[in-house]
Amino acid sequence: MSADAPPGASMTMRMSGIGVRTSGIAPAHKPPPKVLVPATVLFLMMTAHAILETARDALFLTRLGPYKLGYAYIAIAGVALLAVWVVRKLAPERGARAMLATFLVAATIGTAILSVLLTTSPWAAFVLYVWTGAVASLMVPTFWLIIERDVRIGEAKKVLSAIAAGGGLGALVGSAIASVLGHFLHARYLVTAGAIAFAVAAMSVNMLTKGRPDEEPEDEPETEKEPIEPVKRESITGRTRRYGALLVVLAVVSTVTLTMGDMMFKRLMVERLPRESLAMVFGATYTGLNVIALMVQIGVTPKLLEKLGVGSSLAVLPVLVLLTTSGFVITGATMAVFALKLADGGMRNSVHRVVNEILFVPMPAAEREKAKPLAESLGQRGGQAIAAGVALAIAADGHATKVLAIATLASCVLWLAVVATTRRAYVRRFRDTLEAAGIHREARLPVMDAPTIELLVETLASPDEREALVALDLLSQRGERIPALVLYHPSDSVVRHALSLLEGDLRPDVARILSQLTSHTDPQIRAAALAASSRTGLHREQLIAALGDREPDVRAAAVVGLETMRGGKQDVLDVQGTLEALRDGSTADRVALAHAIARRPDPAFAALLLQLMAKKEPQVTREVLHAWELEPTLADVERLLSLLEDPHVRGDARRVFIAGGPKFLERLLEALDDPRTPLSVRRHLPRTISRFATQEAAVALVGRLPREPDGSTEFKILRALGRMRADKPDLHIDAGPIRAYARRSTDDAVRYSRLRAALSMYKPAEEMPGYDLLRELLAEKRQHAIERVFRALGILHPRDDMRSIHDALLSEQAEHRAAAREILEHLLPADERNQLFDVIRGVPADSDALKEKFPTDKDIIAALLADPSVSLRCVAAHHVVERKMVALRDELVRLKPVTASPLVTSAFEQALARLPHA
Amino acid sequence: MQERVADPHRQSPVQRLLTLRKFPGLADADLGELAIIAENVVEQTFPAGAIVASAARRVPGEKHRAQMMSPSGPALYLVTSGKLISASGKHWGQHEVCGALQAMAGRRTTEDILAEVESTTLRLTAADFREILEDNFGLLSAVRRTLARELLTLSLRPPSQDETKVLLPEVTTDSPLGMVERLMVLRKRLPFGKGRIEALAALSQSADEIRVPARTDLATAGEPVTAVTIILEGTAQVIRPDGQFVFGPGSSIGAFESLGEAPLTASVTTLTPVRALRFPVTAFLDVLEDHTDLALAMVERLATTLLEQAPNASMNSLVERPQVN
Repeated sequence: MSADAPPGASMTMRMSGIGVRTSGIAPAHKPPPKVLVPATVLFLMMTAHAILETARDALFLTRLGPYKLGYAYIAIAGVALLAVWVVRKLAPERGARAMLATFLVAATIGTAILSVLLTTSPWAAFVLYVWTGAVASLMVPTFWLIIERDVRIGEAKKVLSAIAAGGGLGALVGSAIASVLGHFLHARYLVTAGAIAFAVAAMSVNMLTKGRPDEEPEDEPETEKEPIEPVKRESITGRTRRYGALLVVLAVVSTVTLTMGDMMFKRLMVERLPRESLAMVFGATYTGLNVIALMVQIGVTPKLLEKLGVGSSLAVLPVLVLLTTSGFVITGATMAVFALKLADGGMRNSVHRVVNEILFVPMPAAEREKAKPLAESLGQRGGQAIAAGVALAIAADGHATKVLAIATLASCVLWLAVVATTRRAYVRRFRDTLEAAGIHREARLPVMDAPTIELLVETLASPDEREALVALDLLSQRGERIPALVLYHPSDSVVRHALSLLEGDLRPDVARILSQLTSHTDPQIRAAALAASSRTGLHREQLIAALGDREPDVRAAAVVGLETMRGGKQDVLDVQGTLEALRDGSTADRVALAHAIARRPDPAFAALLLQLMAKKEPQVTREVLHAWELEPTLADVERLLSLLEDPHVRGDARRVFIAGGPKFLERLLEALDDPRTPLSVRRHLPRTISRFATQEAAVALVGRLPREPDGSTEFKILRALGRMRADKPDLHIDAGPIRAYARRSTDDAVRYSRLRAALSMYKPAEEMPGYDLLRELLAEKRQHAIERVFRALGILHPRDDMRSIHDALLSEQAEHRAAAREILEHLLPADERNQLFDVIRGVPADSDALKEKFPTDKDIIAALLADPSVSLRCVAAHHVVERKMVALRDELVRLKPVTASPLVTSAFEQALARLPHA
Repeated sequence: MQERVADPHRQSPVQRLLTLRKFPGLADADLGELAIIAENVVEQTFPAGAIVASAARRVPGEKHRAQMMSPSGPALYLVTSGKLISASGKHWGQHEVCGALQAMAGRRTTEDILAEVESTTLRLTAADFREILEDNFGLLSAVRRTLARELLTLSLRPPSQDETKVLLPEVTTDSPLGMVERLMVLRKRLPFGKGRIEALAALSQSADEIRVPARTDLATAGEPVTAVTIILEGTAQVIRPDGQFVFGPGSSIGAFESLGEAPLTASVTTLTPVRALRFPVTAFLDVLEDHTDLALAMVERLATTLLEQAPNASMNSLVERPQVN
């Protein structure tokens, strides 16, 4: 566990079964993670292995030839499987460190014995080959298991790169030793040298810490972890297992490809070089490749990881292999195979190794300990065996190398496909971390399959009215048919609610039942029954009788029914008078009348509906709007637009706009572009427009974003677009303006950060509320700018839950911050995300540069007076007075005419009035 | 004794929605909001006698037990079956919510909550609840209304002049207050103090400074609330069903009613000439809609006030959906 990691950051999420171990970015003042000891151990191990590898290649190819290599790989795979069994058996009992020491001691003894046996039989070279592979299969994954137990994802890229560099250097030194010794000694003496090197490596293992099994307190409290739903836990656990399996597949496919590529190279070498020079040439080649690998490891890997992130770095080697192999297949040029070997040698033990090791870091230790040995044995050794099988299957004739190249190419394509899947799965690991930490925002209503509908219809008959009500809502929202029989429900609430859902489009079966409820005790049900009767033109007498009902709902239903039945003809009844009496009566009368009209919205009532709204009573207005929603042709669009400023009825007004369709949308778009539209209305247009969720609406909002002068409306456009894309991720938008907006917002965040730092340099001697307010406001502005960046990114990546990533990056939990960074690495180009990370981390501004830009306190305040933010300018003007900065009077005078905001103008005027004269 | 996480297959998503709807506060909740809650609750079953929520963080020497009892942080518990009981004897039965006020106030329970009989709860952490409110303005508004109306029904004693006059040290000039001065006034007034400066700036922009002569009616009980008034200078008499009080600088008129979207509960008449800040309710509600942080701060403040002023208050439902005025 890193020294700077807070308590709990080391804890895997055992309760949730997630187990992504992550950490934040180590602050600059903390000591760097310790890498020297592990790097040294790996250096010694790889030195030994490189010496032995050179010896075994030379001995094998000299004594048995390249075509026996396949058998050796198959044998290694068999031994590696045994190794996995050994590791799994011993790991829990002995601990990884003790196991590594055991393997290295065994490697020393075994290699020493083999150095003697090599003189007795040519097949000893075969055994040596298998032995070397088996030793590597055991010691390398065991070593990385020890390291990965301690490392967190936030530091993994740096730490693992540095440790791997130790390994690269070891391989280089080992190859160099082998090359030099190869000039003077027979290859079998190199085996003895390898045994000595393994002995040294074995002694170094004690330097390693024992690792987490001993360090991690078994009884560490888990109180900070919330329990999560079993379904989610199972789903995450399942994904973890699949991820482990995917890493094994990745190891298999990559090894198959690289091994076949290696075989191509070796075949060419054997075909073109004398056998006695093979040891020296291999030594020199490996030395050269190891030099390149070391250079790549030190100079390229960290930058590549920084620039591309783990996911894309994973694709570097397969892409190079694909290009070089394609080159060989197409041209047959030997250079292409050399280039392939160069890429393999340069990348395999640097970028490829580090990235593949990092892939294991976000796994719970238990899962990793299962997957890693499997990846090493089944993956690497199994992959070698498969490659060997393929090579053996290819006849050793003149075309064999080319056929092998085609097979390599096919395997490489598969490798790239697995890389793409792994990349997604790797990012998913971090999403799981964030999802477990935050709320699930993507909740959708349940899918209405047949059993669900059946359940809901049954629930309609439930005596518990709350159950029946929710069943009604669910059926209605999903567009399912509501049975008319629900109108016989014993609960009036249920019947009333059913009526509100059924009234709009009265089905014959509903009308039939309703007409039988005209004497119901509940006035609303009675009213609805009368309304239904009036539609069929029957029961006129009942309607007339109902005019005398004491309930306004019933009277209103009756009079509206009678008015629509008479169709504008003269009637002996004073229908008009009754309507007017209700209109001019109490609020309840007007609500009842508007509701009755909403049951049967008729053009004859258009004027009356407008009159009903005259008193601006929210309940009445809401009913009128409901009528307009059912019959948008009755709506007065201009009045409707003005209602958007009233929070009490805004939602209802929006529904009318949606019901009005494209024509109403057109009016909204005009209003958004019209500078005469009052701000109190304009600010609610984006959300209203977004409710249409159409391409036209999206285009209009995206187009308006860069042109909107009002900051609040601009932010609402951003929110509206975010909602639209969250609801309909497939809705096409022009990404250009959104990206530009995100970049501008990042620049804003940087600017506010610098302004705040500059302001802090000129802290007044005495306490000044305006100064404190300015600092707070600048911090808030910076934070808000960051939020805007993420909202813009959320529009661009609607499925990636940018809100959670934003929250996680600002969280105090290092593991959440690191997880968010990993996800962003997957989504954003390096330059964009690095600037964003810097501003979020609050990288301190260069104080010399700030001093140069703002040499005095007046310069920084002058800069704030000219900032685009209205509130910032107002507070800055206040602070000018507070600080008695008479010298800024001219600046206030100069800027006042160009404020473009009455509020700022007023603030500047006030400051000028209060500022003492020089 | 240990709780167990309930069988995940026991309830289908529809069944869980049906269950949630049975809670009084969620009876009228939008189905989308209900689905979000359903997605984020954790079902737990507790045997009789098990501690559901522990006031203590840890039982000395029994770390594991404490962990199981008190997973972390404040949370609310929707009781789907059984009965919970607190050490002081409060109880929550089926379809009641335990810990709602504490969760809204972001506080841990002050006493152990136990399962009296085998009980099943849907647990929602305060942090998750806050995030759900943040994302669902309808639910947030309903919670805010409920809390404010609850406070109005309690008829809390208004702060005395001594308590309020220290709130406005910045008002030192007789000239009209600028936007920044108004903002500073608001920052001194709870529950505005926790809002972001931009939110308060927006509210300041919508505010008017008024000067009213003595013996002028500022509010009439029973009338719809149209504005919130904060007294800067002068005094006013407040007549409520539970008594008469004098309001001075720092006092606000119509704040709880605005938050509760309820009619005015008091009649207010100026005793002396009064200088005040007044902002329309519509602007206030708009600012709350645009600045969720302020709305959440209001909810937290209202819940805290309820807990402090009425220690025995216990909301057994999440929200009520009263008709707005």
